[in-house]
Amino acid sequence: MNRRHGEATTRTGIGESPITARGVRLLVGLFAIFALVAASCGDDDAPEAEAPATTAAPTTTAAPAEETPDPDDIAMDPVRIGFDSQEEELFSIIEARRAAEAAVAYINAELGGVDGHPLELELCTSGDGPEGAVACAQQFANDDDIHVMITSSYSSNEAAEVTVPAGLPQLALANLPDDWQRPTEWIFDPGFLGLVQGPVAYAADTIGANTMTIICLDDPFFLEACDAASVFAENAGLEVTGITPAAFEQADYVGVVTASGAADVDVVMAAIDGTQCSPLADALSSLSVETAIITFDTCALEDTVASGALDGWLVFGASALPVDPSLASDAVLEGQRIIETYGSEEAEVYGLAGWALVSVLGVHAALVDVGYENLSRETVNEALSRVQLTTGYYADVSCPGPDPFPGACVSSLIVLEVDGTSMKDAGLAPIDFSEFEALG
Amino acid sequence: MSIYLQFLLIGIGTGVIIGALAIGLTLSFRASGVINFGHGAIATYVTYVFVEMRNNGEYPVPPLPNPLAIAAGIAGWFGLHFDAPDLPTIIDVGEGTSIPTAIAVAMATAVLLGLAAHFLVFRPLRYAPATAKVVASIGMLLTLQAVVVLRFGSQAKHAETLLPDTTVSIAGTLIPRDRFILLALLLAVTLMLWIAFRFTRFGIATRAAAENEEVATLLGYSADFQAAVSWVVASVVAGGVGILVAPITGVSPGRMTLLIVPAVAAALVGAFSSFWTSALVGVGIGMAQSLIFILEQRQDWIPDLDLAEILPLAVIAVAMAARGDAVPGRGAVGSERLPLAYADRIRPVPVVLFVLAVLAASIWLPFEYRNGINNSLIGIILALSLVVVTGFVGQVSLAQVALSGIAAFGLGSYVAEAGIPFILGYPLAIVTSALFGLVVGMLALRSRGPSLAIITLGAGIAIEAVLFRRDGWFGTSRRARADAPELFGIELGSASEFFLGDDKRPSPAIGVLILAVAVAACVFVSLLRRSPTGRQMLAVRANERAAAAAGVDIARIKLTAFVIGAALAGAAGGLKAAQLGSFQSDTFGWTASLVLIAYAYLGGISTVSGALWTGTLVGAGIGTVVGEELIVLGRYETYIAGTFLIAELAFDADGIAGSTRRLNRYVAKKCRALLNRRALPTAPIGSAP
Repeated sequence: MNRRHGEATTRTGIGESPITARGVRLLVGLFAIFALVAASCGDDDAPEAEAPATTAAPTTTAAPAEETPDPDDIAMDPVRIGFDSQEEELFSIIEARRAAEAAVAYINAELGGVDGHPLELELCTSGDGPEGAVACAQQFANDDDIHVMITSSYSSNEAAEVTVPAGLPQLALANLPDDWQRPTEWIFDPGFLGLVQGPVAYAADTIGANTMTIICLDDPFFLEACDAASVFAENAGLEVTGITPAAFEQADYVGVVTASGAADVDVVMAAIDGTQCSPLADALSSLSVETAIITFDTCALEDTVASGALDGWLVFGASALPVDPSLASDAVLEGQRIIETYGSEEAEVYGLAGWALVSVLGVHAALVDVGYENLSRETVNEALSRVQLTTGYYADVSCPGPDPFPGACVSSLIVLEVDGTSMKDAGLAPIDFSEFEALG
Repeated sequence: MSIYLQFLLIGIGTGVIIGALAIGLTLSFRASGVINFGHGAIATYVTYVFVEMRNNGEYPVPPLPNPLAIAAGIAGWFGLHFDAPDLPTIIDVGEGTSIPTAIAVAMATAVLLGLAAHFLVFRPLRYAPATAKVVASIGMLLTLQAVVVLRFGSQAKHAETLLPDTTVSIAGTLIPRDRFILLALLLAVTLMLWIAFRFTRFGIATRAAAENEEVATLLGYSADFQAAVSWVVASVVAGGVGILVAPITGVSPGRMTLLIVPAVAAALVGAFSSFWTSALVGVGIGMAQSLIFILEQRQDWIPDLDLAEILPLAVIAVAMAARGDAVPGRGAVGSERLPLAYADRIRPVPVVLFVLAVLAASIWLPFEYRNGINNSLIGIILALSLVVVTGFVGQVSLAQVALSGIAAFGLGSYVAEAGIPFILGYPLAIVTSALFGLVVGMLALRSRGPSLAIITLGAGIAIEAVLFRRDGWFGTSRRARADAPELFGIELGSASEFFLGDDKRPSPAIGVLILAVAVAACVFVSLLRRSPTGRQMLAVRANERAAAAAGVDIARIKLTAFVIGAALAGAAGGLKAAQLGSFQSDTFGWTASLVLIAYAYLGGISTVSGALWTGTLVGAGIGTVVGEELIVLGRYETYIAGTFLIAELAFDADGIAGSTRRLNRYVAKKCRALLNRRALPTAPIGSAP
């Protein structure tokens, strides 16, 4: 028999112990702590009062309202769009939500909302797992006033199990060709296949490379994209000397770089997660590898670029991300202005911010196209199928995508070259979707 | 030089990191008898502090309760709105600081973290069972990771190298010089720790306390002080390693946490007591992983099974097989019992009324509550699997989510691919999961406590790596599908039509199915607890030797528990697959098992009522849905859950179910006393007795 703090217990654990005054105090204290923490943990990302617009609208074909009403005068029913923000756990994509909030504020302030009705973001937050994404999708699918939703969740596929039967248009990120083939899914993102096809063609045609090695995140979706890249390369006359997997939990990338034979080829494609870019750059630098490196916008993180670790790398993605304003075009600066002017203090242009910004603009274009009086899921979905956006700070959006991928609305990639601690424009890389069909 | 020898040398970098984490784990174990799954998170936090101080001159302030916000919140309930001033989230000291300043601040933070880990988390648990300590370390992991994401974001950061950025050529192989410097530093730290623990009074006393705390205390040594110092040293070592290897590994919230498994394997070989063995085995594992990596690249005959990832699990298995219970027990002054395994009384009328109420709620409540109830019911079934394995038999299992995934993928294969009807496919999936549970149980027969936690964690990782991520019956490299369940011609999926309730999603149909399985599981576990087998399980939990002496077949009972637990996990996994419609390997990843056991302990891991609490608390469960109505926790959810878990563990190891049960009894006792007092006849003053 053990005794502690006057509390009778049995070693078997089968018996029961009477409550002690200490126990009650502790219990009350516990709940008090919870209440204290819960009550004080407000969301410090709530959008603040937005500054008024001072500059012209961007070069977008999103139809602007003929008259721009004063935001203060907007007292009409709002037009709500659902937004599932993955931000509750380890893999937070909060920059997308912040950019979307900035885009909504910008649209209301400078583009007149939707026929004078203010646009409103119906926010639903989720974590890394599918449960939250499904719950958010259900929330929006069951709300008859929501005609379209945007999701930054990794679990958009699970969410589609809800949205497609409900006929709710969903703007999501793409992993596989299946994602482009759903009748109500529109993707303003090149997806993994687009991200590898464009750079392969660029390496063969523009760089004039003959040999390439691929360093690939050891993940089913990435590996499939890397396998596809070797097929695209073969079609482009580019010899792929190997695909070297880099595990997510890789501690040291020297072995990966050595095994890939990076020093002996014309181009290295780094198809990796954003967390791997800096250590891979460190390993390449340590081994004095001077081969051209091509990678995706997953590596274009503010801190990583600003460190100079990626100097000389070519970054392929949908969004232009200049660090140095002197290197940016007016269109690119306009994209940044929207986020800086209308976003919260923590809003940024990196990560998926550009995607979220353009997704909201695309949705707005569709809503304006339909008109407030005719809004329904069917009409919005139909309007989304003909959205055309040219912003200059994001790859052109053109829906529907090429047959048989109607949801693939991005048909080219922006190419940026990291120049010291900044990035500069290096042209465009078109995506050839016809090659995807051959993959099966 | 052979390329294989080259890669052995290249593996030194990885090995040093694993070895350094392993000696930190050994220190933590010596201090508190805990396998600290949060050790990597400490390294990560300190590294972030260094990077932020160095790059931006900003010191993060952890999220703390803001008393003014409470006043604002209460006022808000009465319609009075005012903005309470925010607490600072960072302390800005201007431009980026110098390297020495940043290191000093980071190391000071490591010291504070070590002290906090000891005084706030593990000291209150010094008499707690191993399971509670494992869960507390998971709580610390969740909390620290959440703070990192809240304060630094989830994007990767760049860290500058503090060591020479040149290479050494060894027989034509280029290897960065800093790897050898790190190796030398690791050996130096190991030597210092060895000397400190072998030859100094403090070290000898700490070892003595680890062997027999009571005797050490009687000799005048403060085990508490020794543990605090050991925690501080462990944190400082973790932070130092994190800072030095940051350029090599990268800086992101979960990076170092992922390296904890090979570090645990190395520390296990060293029996969590030998610094030299832990460090050198860690280096060896890194080198071997590098060798396996190049063998997989160059040799076609080697199966593509992520052998480098599985290697630490093989090391764990061999260590266990060679030593039996490879993790030594810690001789604490007293040892607290496991949470009480109440026999929840089954009162037919209240139970039936409760089930009918949940049924009605599953049909007629608004859809968001229905979805929350569905998630909670699945969480209850999963928690029940832990109630049987951990609560009844005292076996820690970190493989339950992986076992549930077996049934999920199996259901997809049996029903969606092979065309077997759901009524057969679902039980078949459960049986499959139970068979895997049998295998895990056989692996675990000779172990319990921390050793078992490591084995089951390894089993879960192996299942995920070998099965879930590969195309086959129990995995896919893409996405798995599960058709809507169909019973006797009635479709019971999330999007199926149902004759009751509204037409919103999820359909009440899937809720009815999930509720039926959950009720069956609860009744089954309640009956199991009261059955002779249940009593034998509790006997095994209390004292294996005594139980064996009383004629209980220990092996049979343990295996029975693992099989039943796996079947329950499989029942939950199959329902989850049917509920989602499509899913990926990540859905059943090993980190989910850590979170599950944490929530299960919080709810009450030894009782059916505890499982009900666990189901209420799980992510996207009914507790979350109702909670969101009161306050939007958003990205603070994990942080609050982690701190709440640690607080609950420190205050009451029986979890919420135990606390509420005691509170009920206390209130009832006070009420009875009050009523009795009023009922007593009182004699008038001055009257004769």
